[in-house]
Amino acid sequence: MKTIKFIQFLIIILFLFSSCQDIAYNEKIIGRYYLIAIDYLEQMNLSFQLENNNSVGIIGQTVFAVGFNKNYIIVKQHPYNNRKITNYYIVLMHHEMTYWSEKGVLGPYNLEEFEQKRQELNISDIKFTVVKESLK
Amino acid sequence: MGYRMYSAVFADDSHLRSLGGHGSGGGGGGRSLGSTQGFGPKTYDPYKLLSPNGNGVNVKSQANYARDIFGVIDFSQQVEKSNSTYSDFYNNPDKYNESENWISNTLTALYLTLNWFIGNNEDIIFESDRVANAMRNARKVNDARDYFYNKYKGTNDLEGASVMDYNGSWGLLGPFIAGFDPIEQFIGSCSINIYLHDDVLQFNIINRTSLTSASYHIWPNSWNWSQGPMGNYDQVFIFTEPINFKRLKK
Repeated sequence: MKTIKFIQFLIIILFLFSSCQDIAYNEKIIGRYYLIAIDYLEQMNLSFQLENNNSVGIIGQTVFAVGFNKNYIIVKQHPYNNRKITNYYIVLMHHEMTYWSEKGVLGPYNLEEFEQKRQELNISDIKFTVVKESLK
Repeated sequence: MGYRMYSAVFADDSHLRSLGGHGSGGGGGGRSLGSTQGFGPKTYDPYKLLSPNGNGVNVKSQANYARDIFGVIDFSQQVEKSNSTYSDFYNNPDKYNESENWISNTLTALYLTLNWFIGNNEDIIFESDRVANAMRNARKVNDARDYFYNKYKGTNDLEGASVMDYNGSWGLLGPFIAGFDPIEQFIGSCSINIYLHDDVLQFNIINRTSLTSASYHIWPNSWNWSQGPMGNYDQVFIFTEPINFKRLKK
């Protein structure tokens, strides 16, 4: 009887303090690339999915717009939700698992540099199709 | 180097720190909390009831930037090397025993939960103390550590080696995976960052407790408020450990 009560006590303790183990926002963009916010939306980053279904950030918070084709992802970011600054990135996609996913990241650029780089890479036709209005 | 913007709020060896605080730390009994911006004076002292150290003093931040603190402070700054239990973990991680701290960690989790609930939710850093040590063998941290060593296996030049925003979550199975570790249970999902400083790995674990996370995301994120009862409550857990060069060999 004491053992059962003790187990009940432990189970209560287990759930009493438990926060959500799931993440606040998770949206697949393409391939292994996801928009992820762990606890709150302002943490939104572009992440690369790993083999164990965890992920690692490649462009930090706060990402608010992305667009893509089959080889590239373009990204707009307000660094740490500073809306006075907008950084632009171009990501050369890795289609297979790699530990060096960040090596495909070009940037941060300002708008002028970004447009120039897009022309160089011949990807000016990619539009920002995923936009988070609340973070814009 | 340390966090110059922080002030220690525990005078003992707990190294509990306050984000953006301007007050002084102290020991020897609890104190009433001072005025809190927008919420008037508070005369109760939850530390007196629940602090496992018994002498903690919370100092409410005077600065509004505390809410945006993660964008203001560079967490990659090096902290002092841990000098207590990390060597036990390093030498024999399978036998690392944190059960001796279970009761005090449970009290800390209870205290943090109560702080969040009543709105005494000043942001907190736990640096190389009992609470931060509880995260050393968390499954998410182990995954992030494995990722670091796999990433840099066989690499000669480790300059700038790091893992940023490692995201670990296990959905509804999370509470079972975390087991009976009260700190892990309290943190839930979190962001893990690893930095290399000389021959030491520094782990920074960032968590925000909000009504959304407490309600398992039933409560919409955009409805959360930043201060007051059940408002957003940020915690950072920092610890260091020596780099394991054996794991970097091919």
